[in-house]
Amino acid sequence: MVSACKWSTYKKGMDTVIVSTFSTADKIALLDIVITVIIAIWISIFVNNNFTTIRAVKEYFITEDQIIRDEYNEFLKKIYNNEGNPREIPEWFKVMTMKINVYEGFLKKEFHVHPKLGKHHTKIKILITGSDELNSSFNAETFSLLGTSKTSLHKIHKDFSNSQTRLVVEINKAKPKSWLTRQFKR
Amino acid sequence: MEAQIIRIKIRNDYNEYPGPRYCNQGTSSGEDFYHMKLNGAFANVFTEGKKLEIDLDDTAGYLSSFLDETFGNLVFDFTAEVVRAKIKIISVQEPDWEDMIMNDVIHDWENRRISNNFPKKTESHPEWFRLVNGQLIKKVWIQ
Repeated sequence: MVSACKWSTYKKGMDTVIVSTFSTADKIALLDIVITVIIAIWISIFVNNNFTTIRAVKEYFITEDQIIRDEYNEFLKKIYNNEGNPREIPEWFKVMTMKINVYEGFLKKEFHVHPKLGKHHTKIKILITGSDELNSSFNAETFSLLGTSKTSLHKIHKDFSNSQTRLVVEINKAKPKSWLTRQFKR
Repeated sequence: MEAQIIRIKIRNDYNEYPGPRYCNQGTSSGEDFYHMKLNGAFANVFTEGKKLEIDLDDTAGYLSSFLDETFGNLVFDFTAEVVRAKIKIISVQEPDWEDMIMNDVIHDWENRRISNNFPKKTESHPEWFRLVNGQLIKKVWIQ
């Protein structure tokens, strides 16, 4: 409270000057108000900005997850429909491996999450590129997976899709790694 | 003192576009790479006490069968223990290949070697090396 301050006036030339004399309690109370205002401004600007930044980064990772999902679905649709070109398969997997590795690398660095996309991706890659069907049709225009291979693929594909959905939940719940944590991880 | 390292980069020393598992399935197969390059190079590093670094990067990608046939044959001819001690796989672009070779392929083909489940050859190859009781012997092992 600043109620106990004394007010006095005096003449300085033509002007009347009003002066207040603050007690120690008044000064502390004023300091309290100033600090409260500064904290309020800091929260409204810095923390809010930080929250907005974190939200934007999370949105970016979630969008990337969706892009990977779309590309994967388009690719596997071709495989299921026996329309995959054998000679294009290794390169597609290579590019996707690199994409997922970079994605998971950044995600692990920025947030406390444990994505499993790479693990399922490797299983799908080994299943398709190790199949007799693909190897024996390597010079053909397309290849067809047998029913047993497709059944195995369906199962791993389902696990892959589940881990992508789980990852969106994890990203939304995740806390960003502190600056200090990131330095120690380097 | 570290053993001297001999390097094979598949893109430069073999082909930018590795193919399927067997010679009769297409060009630049795992079977072909093993007999054309890897068997002889590995026998040399074994004789000279060196190490062999195989760089998988910068190609147009692999079928897992190519790698399985290549490194599986190496294990079959030289044993898992010698292969593990003598090779280093470089695969920065697809690190999962290194894991697959060093864990699954070597393990599976060592079991296959022990149980005399011979690899399939779809083409006749010139004599190649195999380690028998610590000695390198060169001949056509499988017709």
